[in-house]
Amino acid sequence: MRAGRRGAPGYLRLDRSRAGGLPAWAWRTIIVAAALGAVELTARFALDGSYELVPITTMAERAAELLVDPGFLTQHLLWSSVSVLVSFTAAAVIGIALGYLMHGHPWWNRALRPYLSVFYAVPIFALYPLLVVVFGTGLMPILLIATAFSAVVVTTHASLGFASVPQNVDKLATAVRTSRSQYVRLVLFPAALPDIIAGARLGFAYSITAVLASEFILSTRGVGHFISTAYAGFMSVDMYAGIFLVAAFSLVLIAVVDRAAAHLDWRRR
Amino acid sequence: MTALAEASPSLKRRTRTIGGRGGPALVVAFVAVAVWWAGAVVADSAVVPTPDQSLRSLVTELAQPSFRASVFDTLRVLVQSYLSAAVVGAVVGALLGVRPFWSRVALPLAYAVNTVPKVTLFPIFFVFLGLGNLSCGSFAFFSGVLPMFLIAAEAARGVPQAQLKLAASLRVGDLRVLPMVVWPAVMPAVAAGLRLTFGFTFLGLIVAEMFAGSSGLGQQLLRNVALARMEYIAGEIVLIALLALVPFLLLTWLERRISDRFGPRPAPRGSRP
Repeated sequence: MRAGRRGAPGYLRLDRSRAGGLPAWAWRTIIVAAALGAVELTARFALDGSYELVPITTMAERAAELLVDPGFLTQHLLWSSVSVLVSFTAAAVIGIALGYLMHGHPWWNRALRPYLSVFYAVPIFALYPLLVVVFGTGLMPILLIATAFSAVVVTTHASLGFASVPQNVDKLATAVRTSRSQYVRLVLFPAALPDIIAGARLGFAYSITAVLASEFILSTRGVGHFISTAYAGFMSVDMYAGIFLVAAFSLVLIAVVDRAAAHLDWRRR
Repeated sequence: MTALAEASPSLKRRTRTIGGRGGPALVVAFVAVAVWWAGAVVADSAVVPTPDQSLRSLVTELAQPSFRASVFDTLRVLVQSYLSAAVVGAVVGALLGVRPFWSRVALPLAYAVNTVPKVTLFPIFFVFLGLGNLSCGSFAFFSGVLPMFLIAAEAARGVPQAQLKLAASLRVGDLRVLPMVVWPAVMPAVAAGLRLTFGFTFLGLIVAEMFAGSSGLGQQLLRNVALARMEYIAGEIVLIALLALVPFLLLTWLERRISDRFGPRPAPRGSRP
C-alpha cells in the first residue's frame, strides 16, 4: 500500500517503502554517516585538537595500531577476552544446570524464582569492592561478578525453555515409553534450545559488560583498565581508540552470535 | 534486547505460571544468612564481617551527616535520572513505534547502539560534563533511556491496526491519538519497561559513582575499599539492596495492576471453536 494517501494521518501505519524518495537502508546510511561526519568535523575544526574529542579517523588509526601492539594484545585484549570467555562459559553451564534443576524440582523453582526476578534490580557491582578486598585485584573477583551477572539471565531463559515442551509432545513421549535420557536428549533440550540460545546470547553481552565495568572500577589489566587509565592520564586518543575497539568488537561478536543463533533456532526456520 | 525479552507478554505469562508461594524462598534466605554468619565466625577475620557487625556499621554510618548526604545524593540523582529516562524513552519510543517506515529506519540503529556495552562509553560523559552528579546522572539516564525507548517503540508497533483505523475514521489528530489509543495499548509493556529501566538506571548510577563520583553510595563503597573496612562495605551493600528492592517491588505491583487493567483479556468461554 502506498503511503501519503491524502488526508490519512501518519499513525495509520500505511506502510511505505520510501520516504523522500529514499528507502529505509539509505536513510540509515545517511544517519550513520551524518553522526560519524559530525564527530569528525567537530573534533577536527570546532574543538581543534582539544582533549574532549578526537576525530573518528584518528580513533580508527590508533585502534589499528593497538591491534598490532604486543603489549596491548597480551596485557589488555587477551586478558579481557579470557575473562569474558571463562565467565560466559561458567555462566552458561551454571545457568543451564540451574534451569534444569528448577524445571525438574518445583521446590527449587519456588525457592530461586523470586531471587532471579529481582536480581537485576540490585546493582551487583556493589559487591565488587568486597570481592576485591577478599581476592585482590586479579582475575577472580572479575570472573565471579561477570559469571553471576550473566548466569541469571541464562537460568531464567533456560527454565522457561524447559517449561515450554508442548503437553501433547510430553504425552507422546510417555506413550512411546522414552527413557529419562532419551526424553532429555530428544524432547527436552531440543524444545528448550531456542530459549537457551536467547539466554546465552544475552549472557554473552552481560559478560562483556560485567568484565569491562569491573576492569574500569578496580583492576590492573584489561581493556576496561586501559580505557580508564587513558582517561585518568588525559590520553584522549588512546581512550577513544579503546572505546572504538570495544564498540566494533561488540557489534561484530553479537552479529556473529546472532547469525549462529538463527542457524540453531528451529523456531526461526 | 534483554529488556524486550523480559517485557514480552508471553514470557511474563510463563514466568507467572511457574512462580509459586514464598516458603522455599524464605528457607534459601535463612540458609544464606546462616552460612554467611557461620563462615564469618569460623574465619574469625576482619575480612569477613558477621551480618550483625555489618548492620551495626551501617547504623553507625547512617548517624554521620556526611554519609546521609551521600545517600540522599544517590537517591536524588537516581530519581531525576530514572524519571527522565522513563518519560523520554516512553514518549519518543511510542511516537516512533506508530510510524512503520521510520521504525524500520531507526530501530536497527537503536538495537546496534544498545549492543555496545554502555559502560565503555562513560568516560565520554566525564570528559564533557566533568566529575560529579551531573555526569553520573547523565550516564544513569543513558543506561535507562535506550531500553525504555526500545520497549515503548516495539509495543507501539503492536497497537492493533483496527483501533488506529477507527481513530482515523473519527478524525482523531496525531497528538490526540496518543492518549486515546496508543497509550492504553502500550501501557502493559511500558509498565514492564518502568520496572526494568529502574534496574538499569540504578546499576548505571552506582557504577558511575564508583568510577568517578564525588559523592554517593558508589563513591562511599570505594572509599571503604581504600580503608579496607569490610563491615562498612557489607553494610552499604545491604543498604543498596534495600534501596533497590523497595521501588522494584512497588513497580512490580504497579505492573500487575496495569496489566490487569489494560492487558489482553481472556476470551469469553465458548468463544473458541
